[in-house]
Amino acid sequence: MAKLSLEELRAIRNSGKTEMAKRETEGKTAQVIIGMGTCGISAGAKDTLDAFIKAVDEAGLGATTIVRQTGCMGICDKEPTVEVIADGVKTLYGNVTAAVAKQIVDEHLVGKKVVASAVINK
Amino acid sequence: MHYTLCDQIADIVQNAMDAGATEIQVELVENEKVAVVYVRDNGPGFEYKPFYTNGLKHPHRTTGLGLAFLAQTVEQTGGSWKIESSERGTTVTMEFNLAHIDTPPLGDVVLLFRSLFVTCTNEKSMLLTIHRTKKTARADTGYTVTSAQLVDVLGNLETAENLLLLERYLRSLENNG
Repeated sequence: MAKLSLEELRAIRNSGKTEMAKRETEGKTAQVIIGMGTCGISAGAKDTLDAFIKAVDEAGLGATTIVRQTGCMGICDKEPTVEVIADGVKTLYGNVTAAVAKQIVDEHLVGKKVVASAVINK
Repeated sequence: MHYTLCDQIADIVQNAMDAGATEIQVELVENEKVAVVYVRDNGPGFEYKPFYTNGLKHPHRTTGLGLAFLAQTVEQTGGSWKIESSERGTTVTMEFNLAHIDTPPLGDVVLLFRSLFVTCTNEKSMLLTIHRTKKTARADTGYTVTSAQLVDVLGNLETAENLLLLERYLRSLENNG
């Protein structure tokens, strides 16, 4: 991969803007918040973060989904923990491996159905 | 001890973010034997006490392990560290001995830098500048990126689309310069 300049980065960014603007007008922004404290990272949260970013983008939701990192959520025995805020509803998931992350994107963010087997209560 | 040096660096930069700084500079200079990291901030400064935290981030908590992990890592692996702090800011210098067998691996600096840029811009509205230098026998190469440049080009860094673009951009710099 050649070294990108900021202007090349801007051009790549702008090339996807029409499609993105169309989706933004739908006003549906989801958030995926991943616990990235020391406990989360030691349980594999970096792989979880990476899996979410890629799965969200592959699902065509890359422009309207925020993937955010946060600190420890206080449930260290169920790391990696992930909070999903979609359609105004918060859902907390635990033991979210990369495979579960993909499942959450496909079933929850795309299919609008909570992945019950991974839900935890704080 | 953290799993990678990048995790350790993230831990120390997080201290600067939590200290109320508005500008942070992270400099990573690496050759085959040593990685030296400077974390400079313009926060209010502090007096270092081992295993102590001020309880502002986590109410009632007075035990902190970030700098203790750093001290443990460098003391066990032939590195060094120091803090210079005044009311005008703090600089933490970390020198990791890459040749020591017990030094954790450096880790993925691209993902470290991306994470720091995102946290600085979205949670804290701080200016972050990253200087990266790789020294070899033949030449010194490197790059400098600021959070202001990235926000100007990409906008909100936290969308999945922009996180991928940011990784692609930083990796192109890391692999070529």
